[in-house]
Amino acid sequence: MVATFQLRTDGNRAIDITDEVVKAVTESGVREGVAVVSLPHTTASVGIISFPDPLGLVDVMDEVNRWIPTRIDFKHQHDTPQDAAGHVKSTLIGTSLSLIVTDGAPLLGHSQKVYFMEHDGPRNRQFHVQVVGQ
Amino acid sequence: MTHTALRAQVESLGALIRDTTWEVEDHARRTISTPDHHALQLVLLTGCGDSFFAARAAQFAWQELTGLPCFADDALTAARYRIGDLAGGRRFRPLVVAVSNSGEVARVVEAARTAQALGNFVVAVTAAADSRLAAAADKVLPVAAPPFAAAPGVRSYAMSLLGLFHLAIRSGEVRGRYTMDEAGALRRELAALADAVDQTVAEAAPVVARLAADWGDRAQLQYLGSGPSRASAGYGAAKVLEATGISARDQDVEEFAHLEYFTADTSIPVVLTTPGDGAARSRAEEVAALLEKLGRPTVTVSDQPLTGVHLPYAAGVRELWQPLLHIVPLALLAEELMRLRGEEPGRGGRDGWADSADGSTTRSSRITVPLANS
Repeated sequence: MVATFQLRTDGNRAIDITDEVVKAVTESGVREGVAVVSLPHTTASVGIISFPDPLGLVDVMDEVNRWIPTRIDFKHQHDTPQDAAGHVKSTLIGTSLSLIVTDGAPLLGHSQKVYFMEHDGPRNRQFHVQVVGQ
Repeated sequence: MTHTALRAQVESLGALIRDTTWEVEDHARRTISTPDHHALQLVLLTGCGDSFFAARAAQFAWQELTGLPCFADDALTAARYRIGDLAGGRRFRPLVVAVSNSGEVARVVEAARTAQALGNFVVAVTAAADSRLAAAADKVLPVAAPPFAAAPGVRSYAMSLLGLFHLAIRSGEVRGRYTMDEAGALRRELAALADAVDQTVAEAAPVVARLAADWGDRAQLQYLGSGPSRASAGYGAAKVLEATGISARDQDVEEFAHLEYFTADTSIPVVLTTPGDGAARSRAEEVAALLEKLGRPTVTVSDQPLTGVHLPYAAGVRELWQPLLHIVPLALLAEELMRLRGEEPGRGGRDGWADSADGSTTRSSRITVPLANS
């Protein structure tokens, strides 16, 4: 069963969704298996980022913007320059993430958290978590 | 009651907006490239007649949504006085948006050709992709309404407004003034005007019928409005002129207090278009009080009543978009007066007005375009 979570982004930044992922795993009843986090979007991405220093999150987003800055000469002009850049960022970083589930919880390192990375906010967003195993 | 083409056009407006708004939006999305949107520094909207009123109404949406200086000129002023030095010697390429439903009105074609000859970026908003105006433009935003019985411009005016509004929303979106979601919400506001127009037809028609019966024998009418409603005042006067031949004048609310207020004939009716939450509302209230003291027969066109006789339109629409709603009571009043007085639009294009029957009075004028380097 897929768990779906809604969120409203307030700009282009990384948003901690670890608690929601843990909740989905816990409520699935799966003790050993795999959790897949998936975003049904093309201008956002999902990833694991070190959380103890919040400025590290800013660094990640800043570097993403440095790699793929919002420019006005993208060929994709149906939407906006930020949207066009967001498509590239989303493709390069990815919209799904697999996590090992063990002992009824996602296996994360001590400084790891799961982040929803918004590249075209503010927007109404959602993400899904599917847990398989036993 | 005879169902005139003019009335049928008014009653079809809701369906017209419903059927065309997303198609116009799609065209507006593709008319100007992203780099060209970002190069904009100044916008001039121009047209003649109804197209000038559309430009005049939409200039405020353009200014608010794009954050750029934007103004509207009639096409003669634009072509022969304004465009020659629009950039003021600075290194940017002004955007000139030239509006003409037929695309053949001489002065608008002249404004577009002049603008292009002098290096401006020209966008034509027209129903005729093969017109002289389209040929004189860098880009064309098509705004053709589905075929309908001919009448003094109602559907064509609505399509021009819709095109100008969608293009303004798009420009602000691409320029990063707001998010895609917010742009989408603005577009849905325009789409929702279809229902608001239908509601307005139902609410305004019976009031218009009573009002026309009272005013049917008047030789003059005065229309007032400010901001976007200044364009509506011009449009209302134009519809009455075209439909009935009544001498109808339009004026800004403030300017009225300085000028026409002193008119000796206090029997001339006044049509005051004043949005309830409009920036000019407080001044409209003061002028309405002056009119009452003079004994001038006055009706307000508003989403919030101001005078005893009131032509309503649907509430909850932002002032920027309201000219699309104003069409309904203003054109209905023209139609009722036309029918009561047994008139034909444009005096039937007969007798002294025969020159206008084929549109040649506005299309055949000599076009003058300066040399690019003169």
